[in-house]
Formats: sequence, structure tokens, C-alpha cells
Amino acid sequence: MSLEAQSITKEYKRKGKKSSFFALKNTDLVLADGELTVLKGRSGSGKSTLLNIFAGLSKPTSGKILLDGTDIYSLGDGPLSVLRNTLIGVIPQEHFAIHTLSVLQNVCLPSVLFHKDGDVESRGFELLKLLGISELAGSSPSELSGGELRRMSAARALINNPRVILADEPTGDLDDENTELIFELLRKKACEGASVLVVTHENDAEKYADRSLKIQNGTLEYIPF
Amino acid sequence: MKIDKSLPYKNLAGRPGRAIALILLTSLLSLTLFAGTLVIKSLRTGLFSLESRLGADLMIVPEEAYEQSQIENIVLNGSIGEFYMDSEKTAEIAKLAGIQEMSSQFFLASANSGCCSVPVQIIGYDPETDFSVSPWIKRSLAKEPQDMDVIIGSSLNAYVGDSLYFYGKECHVAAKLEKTGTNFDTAVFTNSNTIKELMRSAINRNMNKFGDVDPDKVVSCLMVNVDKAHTAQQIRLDINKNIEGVKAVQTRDLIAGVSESLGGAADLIGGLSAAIWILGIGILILSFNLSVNGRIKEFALLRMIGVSRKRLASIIMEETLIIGIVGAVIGSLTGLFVLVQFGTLIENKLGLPFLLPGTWNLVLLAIIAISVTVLSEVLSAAYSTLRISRIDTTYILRGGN
Repeated sequence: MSLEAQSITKEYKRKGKKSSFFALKNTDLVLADGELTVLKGRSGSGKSTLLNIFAGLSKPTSGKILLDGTDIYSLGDGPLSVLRNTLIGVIPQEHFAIHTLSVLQNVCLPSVLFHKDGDVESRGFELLKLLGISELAGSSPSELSGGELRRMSAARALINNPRVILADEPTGDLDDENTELIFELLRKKACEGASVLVVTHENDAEKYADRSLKIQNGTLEYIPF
Repeated sequence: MKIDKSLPYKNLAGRPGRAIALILLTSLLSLTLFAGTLVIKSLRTGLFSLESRLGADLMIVPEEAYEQSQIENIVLNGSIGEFYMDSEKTAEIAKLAGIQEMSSQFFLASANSGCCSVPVQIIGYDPETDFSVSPWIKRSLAKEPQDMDVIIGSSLNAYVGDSLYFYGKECHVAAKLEKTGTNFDTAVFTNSNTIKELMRSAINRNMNKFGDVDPDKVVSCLMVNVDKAHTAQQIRLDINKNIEGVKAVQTRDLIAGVSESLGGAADLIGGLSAAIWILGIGILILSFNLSVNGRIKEFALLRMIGVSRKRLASIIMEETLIIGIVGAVIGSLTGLFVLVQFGTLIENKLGLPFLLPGTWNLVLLAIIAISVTVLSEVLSAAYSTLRISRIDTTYILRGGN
């Protein structure tokens, strides 16, 4: 399975103005199986935009995202949503949670919402354990710190064993120890065959990556290690 | 771990304050719709019941009884009273053209009796000629009442087989009438022989406040139906012109005031209900909008993990339906309870006939009120739902609101 961006351009209209700007310009990128790609760049350079386009959440102005040859944006909202649920795991930049559910229920939500088979709860608990917050499984997300919420998000993104993992600054609120934990987990997932794209500002990220890219003014360039 | 179906319930349970407030508001709307409609319908049914019970085109009463509004007081205001006119008037009136059928009635106010803490109106009728109350009484008593039998109104505290004493005479309760929502519910009916016997007993006991009259030579009122060749108005004018000492009243005119008051009450209740609804729907639309705005990150998260726009809308609509159904049922049941428990009080306060519809009509009305409330709730939430199902997920994911 491969996820490939072909000549992606994303143009945003400025609110209240007739002008617009390009977050991405004719960008090509292939996310290959078993590969962890680090994406860096200044704020507003188009990193998150590219990640969201790969996630099927933001339709490009032009270009295609091909999944095994099929443009995912040619699918309707229903099939695209199913694809997002089954193949893609997203760790968002912000903290997102359903506050009426427990931490464990939040982690398991992508699975139970779609009636997935298997012992979801055990898997969810294992992920929480792996990320060092299993004791918070029954807590409400509102009781968690920023770092704990970040780890909960990571567990939720991985609950369905996605083939593609898209992480937008997944270590933003974390200390060095937990930053290492997250990168090791993402590296492990890549080694197990997942395609992993990590948007980050971490200096040490390259040591977990197969390649590192930099995006500037909507254009990608490779950074040699 | 079951979340899929229970997510809307969990969302509501997780914000109990919001859920309770919305349920209470919905209850108010349902209560207003159900109770408002039921009060108007009960008033109309009461008026229809009153018209049916009067059951005649004309009522002929002594002139002084008309001038003192005694007949109006007895029929409409629940007062008790007695007045009499010479029974020979019956023969005089019968000779007039256009009279299709005519029957006499006798009114007697009781002294205290076993059933009642206050005196009641006793109405005597002639089963052989009566056409106004007999059809109604026959629904509760198939045979003709025997002498010293009484048929009591639904609100009186006695039962079939009981004995009641009026002016020292024992009367046997032969039947209890169904509720009419009118002042007849507190009246006692009997045949003309019995009421004359009671009048004689009152005279013998010097309790004849009605004066020195011979019960065999008087009647209180004549009920008249006119034939098809004449109008009630023609016969009324004819009687009032040609027969001295009596006054003919069209029953339609007698209840015209009630009908007018009912129209006014219905307009007031309808207007208030409409105002509450407009305000309530406005608050609901605002509440749903505020609620959705406050939860925009949750909805963005659901989109991110693979919930389609359609599914997202259905989750919000499920929450709305739960609130709508629970609130509407609570409101309608509260309305039903209040009206059943306090129907008599409402009747007294309004001073109008008030008769709740039958059980099936109540059930039907409740179903309609619940359905309309739920539909309004869904429509109120529709805009917010549509808006949220089209949110720009990436904008929210990047920290926008």
C-alpha cells in the first residue's frame, strides 16, 4: 500500500479580502510502507496543511492523493470517512477529547464507533500502559495534563493499527523522556510496516526517521542527515 | 465497552445541566401545546354538552324568572332556584302553530341532603313527553324512573342504591349520570310525580320558600321544539306576543354569552400558547447553536477519527430526539395530570362549561402534542446540525473555533 501526493496545491482565500495565498505548491510526496518521514519547517510553512490533506480532511485545490492508485478525494464523504477510520491514524496538534467519555473510552472510540471486532478495551489499555498513563484509564480527559492528553491522542490514533500514521507535533507538551517514548513507538509502528509522517520541531527527530524533509513557502526539500 | 449507540446518551449524561434545561424547556412547550389545546377543546366539548343537555329550541319560563335571570343562573351559573307558572299556560302554548313537541320541567331547590354539603337543584321532568333530558338520562338508566327514584349528576357524592332524603322524603338513587362538564353535574333529576311529592312535603314542613303554590297546578319551565315549517325565532316572538306572564327564550341565545366568553378564553389561551411557543422555539434554536459551538472540538475529533458528515448529523439528531421525546412526554403527562386533577377548579375559575374529551381523544391529543413538539425540536436543531456537519475540520484541528 502506498499513499502518494501528486502535484498538490492548496490555496487559501484570505477572509474579507480578495487576495489568497498558497500553503502548498505542486508538492509531490510518497509515504511508503515501513518508512518514518520527519517533516520540518517554520510555522505557517504548510506542514499541517500537507498532513491534513494526506488525512483526507482537507481537499487540495489541485493535485491528487493516491491510495494504491485511487484518488481518495474522488471518494464520497462516506467512503472517505471509512478509509480515514480504518487506514489512517491522526495525532492532532491540539488536544481533542470527548469529555463525557473516560480516557480509555476515548482511546477506543475509533474502534467501538465502527463495531470493530476483537478485545478493543485490552488493546486500548495496553496502549495506555505503553505510553505510561494506564492508571488514568478511568479518568475524565478534563483531569489530564497537556502531556497526558497528548499521549492519550497518540493511543487513540494507534488503536485501529492504522497503515498510515500522521502526527502533527506529537511531542509538543512532552518532556524528553516522553518525547523519546512517543518517537520510539512511532518508529516501532514504522518497523511493523506503517507509513509514518511526523510534523515536528524536535531536533532529535531525525534519529528515528528514515528521511527528513523541510517545507518552505509551500515547497518541499530533502534534508540530508 | 459499548459506546457506538450510547454516545448520544453519554453526551447528554455528561452535561446534565444542559440536558435538564433543554428537557425542561421542551416540557414547557409540550405542556403549553397539550394543555392549551386540551383546555380549548374541553371548553368546546363543554359548550356542546350544554347545548345537547338543553336539547330544545325554546325554553319558556315565567316572565319574572326571566327578568331576574333565574333561568340563566340555574342553567349557566350553577345557582339553585325555583320559580313556577300556571300549568294552564301549557295548553295555551300548545295551541300555537309551529310547536312540534313540548314538555314541562319543575325546579326545586333542596334543603341539605345526605349527598351534599350544600343544597342542590332538583329538576323534575315528565318521562312520557320529555325529549331534552331523557335521551341523556337513558344512557345511564335504561328503564323509566319510578316514583321516588332520583338520577344524580356525576359530581354528587352518592351512588346507585343509596338513599337520599329531600324534605324528609326518602329517594332511591336509580342511576348516576355521566359527566357533562356543566352545572347539571351537580343536579338531581326525577320524574314529575316525585318532585311534586317533594314540593308537597316542603309545604307540609313549612319549608316552602317558593311560596304557596299547588304542585299539581304549576310547572317551572316548558321545553319546546319547533317544527320545520317555522323558525325558533318566529315561535319565540309569537309566544312573547300572545301569551301573558311567560317569556320564551331561544336556548341558542341563552348560551350565546357562554359561547362568546368561550371564544374570548380560547383566543387568550391560544395567544398565550403561541407567544410561549415562539419564545421557546427561539430559545431552543439559540441553545442548540450555543451548545454546538461549545462542542465544536468534539465534532472535529469525530470527523478526524472517521465519522462521516451524515453520521455526525445523526449523533446530534439522536441527542435532540432523546431530549425532545423525554421533554415532550413529561410535558404532556404533566398537562394531563394538571387538567384531570384541577379540571373542576379551572371550570369554576373560568365560569364556563368544561368537559375533558374521552380517553382515546386524550391519547390522540397527547400523541399529536408530543409529535409536534419533537418535530419542532428537530427543526430547531436542524440549522446547528447542518452547520456542524459542514465544519472545516482542519481549521478546528489547527486550533481555530
